[in-house]
Amino acid sequence: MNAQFKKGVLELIVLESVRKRDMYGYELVAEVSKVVDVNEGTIYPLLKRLTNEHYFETYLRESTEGPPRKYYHLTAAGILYRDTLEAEWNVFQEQVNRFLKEHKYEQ
Amino acid sequence: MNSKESFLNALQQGIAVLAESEQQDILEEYAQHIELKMSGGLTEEEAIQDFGDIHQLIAEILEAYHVNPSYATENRKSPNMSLFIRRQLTCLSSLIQSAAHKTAHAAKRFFRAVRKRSEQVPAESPLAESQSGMSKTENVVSHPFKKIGCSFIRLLKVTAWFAWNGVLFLCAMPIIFLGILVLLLLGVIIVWLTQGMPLVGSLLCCAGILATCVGILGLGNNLVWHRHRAAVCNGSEDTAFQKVTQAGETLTEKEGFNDAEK
Repeated sequence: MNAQFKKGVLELIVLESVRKRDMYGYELVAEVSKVVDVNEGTIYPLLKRLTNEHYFETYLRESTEGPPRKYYHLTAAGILYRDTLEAEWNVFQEQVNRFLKEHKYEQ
Repeated sequence: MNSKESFLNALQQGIAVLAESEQQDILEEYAQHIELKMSGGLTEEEAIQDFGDIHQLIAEILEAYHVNPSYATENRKSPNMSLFIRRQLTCLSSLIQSAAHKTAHAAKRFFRAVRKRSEQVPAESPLAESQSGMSKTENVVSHPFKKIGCSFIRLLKVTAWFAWNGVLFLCAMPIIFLGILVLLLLGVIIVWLTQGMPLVGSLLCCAGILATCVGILGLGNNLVWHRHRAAVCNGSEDTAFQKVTQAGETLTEKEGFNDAEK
């Protein structure tokens, strides 16, 4: 998939993944990779940015397999932001699809 | 960038512009991610490769903190600068050390020569007397003033030993104190320097003072008058004295024998 497409939609996928349930970094990377083939390195900076912008909050939870893991939890601001992104995405993809469909029939 | 350690080191250097706690947080997360991937069956190298280009990764992390990655890259040059300064410091300290060592060696030789000369006079005289005629031996053995003289010289030596070493110790005390103080200051400056404060000049100054203190103390250590040498000298003197006594007794007996023959 085009890297620019991925970059644009990645934020929404991450927010949606964490909205369902709190996740730790590795788990989140695995979840996102199911949807888009993404470089793992790009997820952590994104998580960092969303945390710095208060869309996520983090907490540590003990793990039976090694050190405690840092879980990401979507805040109220995060939920609002996710909804806005989803709305924008829907409008965007509808417009693009309509445009493509129109051009297809014109040919 | 094959090992986890080298990857984390490179990452830390790249994000050094961030706060210490943030750096730790990021490093821990990446380390944990690598460990989890490895526990899933991947090798260390494969787990690291999945992160892609490290410079790209660093740039993305810095962007997340609204830090200009190019600014951070420029700042990354500072470890090289500190490495250069460290090399220069090491060179300077080794120069000072070698100079101090040479000076101390020369001083040691000078004092040893002076001491040898001063010891040769009393050490040679009894032996020379023992080898010479009877009249000289009689002087050494029977003269009570000689013993008093020897004791007086020994007393003088002990007094001189105390005075010399005492003066050296008194001179060393402020230097040791200054050295400890500068060492503490150096530690503080290094900490501040790692936090990005422009204290390279102060660091150099402190390192110079410290090296000078160490050099002076090294020189002073070589100037210390060791007592065991004196003891050895005294021992040789005593041995010489015993030899002279024995020689004197033999000669006296011979003389008595000759007198009897006459």
